[in-house]
Amino acid sequence: MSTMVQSARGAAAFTPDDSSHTLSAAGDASVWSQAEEETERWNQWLEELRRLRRLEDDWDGEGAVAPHPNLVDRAIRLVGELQWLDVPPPDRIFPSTNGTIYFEWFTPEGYWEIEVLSPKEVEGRKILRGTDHCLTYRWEG
Amino acid sequence: MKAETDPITDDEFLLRRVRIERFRTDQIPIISPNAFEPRIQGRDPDTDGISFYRAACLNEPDEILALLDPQRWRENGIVRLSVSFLKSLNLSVVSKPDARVNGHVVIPELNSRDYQADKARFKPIMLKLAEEASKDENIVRRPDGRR
Repeated sequence: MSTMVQSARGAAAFTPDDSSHTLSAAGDASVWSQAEEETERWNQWLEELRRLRRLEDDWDGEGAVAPHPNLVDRAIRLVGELQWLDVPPPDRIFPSTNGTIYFEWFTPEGYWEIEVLSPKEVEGRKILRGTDHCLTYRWEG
Repeated sequence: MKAETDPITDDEFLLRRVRIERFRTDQIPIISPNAFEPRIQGRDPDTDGISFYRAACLNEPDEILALLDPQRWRENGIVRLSVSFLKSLNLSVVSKPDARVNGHVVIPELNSRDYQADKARFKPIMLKLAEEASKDENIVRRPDGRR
């Protein structure tokens, strides 16, 4: 098992290879419908993030640290960045017990996660299917 | 039922609480890898490793919910992993008795200090734990109380 740290490419590192998420010039109705569905799912995650902004310490009854509102704001900004990059909505967004926020994707290529560590630090990790390698991307700002 | 002092054998199952947001029914795997993330901060960091409970030391799996306010029971599911599976990942199981619930054990390799120092090293292991815990036979209780 090894860890590979790659130079940060920002959130673009998580742009999926699957071109099915890209709108075609032909404007196929099913593609538009998929785009609308994805927008709706992103909006639902934005609602969830706004809810997380109100969490307080011990939100899980087991002493978990609540994410700082400024960190949640960074996560909300990240949603906009990922949408702009045409990244599909994650399968999950949730607070960790350590005061950070996770975005998770399960794709045919493998498992991806982004952890918003602080208002200025974001770390992405990818584990390609069938490997024990975790590729790490970190970006600031 | 086994006593906490009995040796931990490879054929035993260990139980872990998983919060609802890490426990989705429409995803594969349904359990998040981060359900096995050590707590670094907060009231009770996992300095000695993440917690499990020996099923063999309990009458009912739901006993491990006893540490929580009953109003929070529906926010938590329960999954199980075998000791032999954990050992196959080079993880060990160490007894750490807790007066509140029988059979408390920890996985020393998944501790807060090492995790904080190198999260990427832990993630493939956490993914394997999640994939195994997501198998139907290892879902002991869903957050809505269903088996």
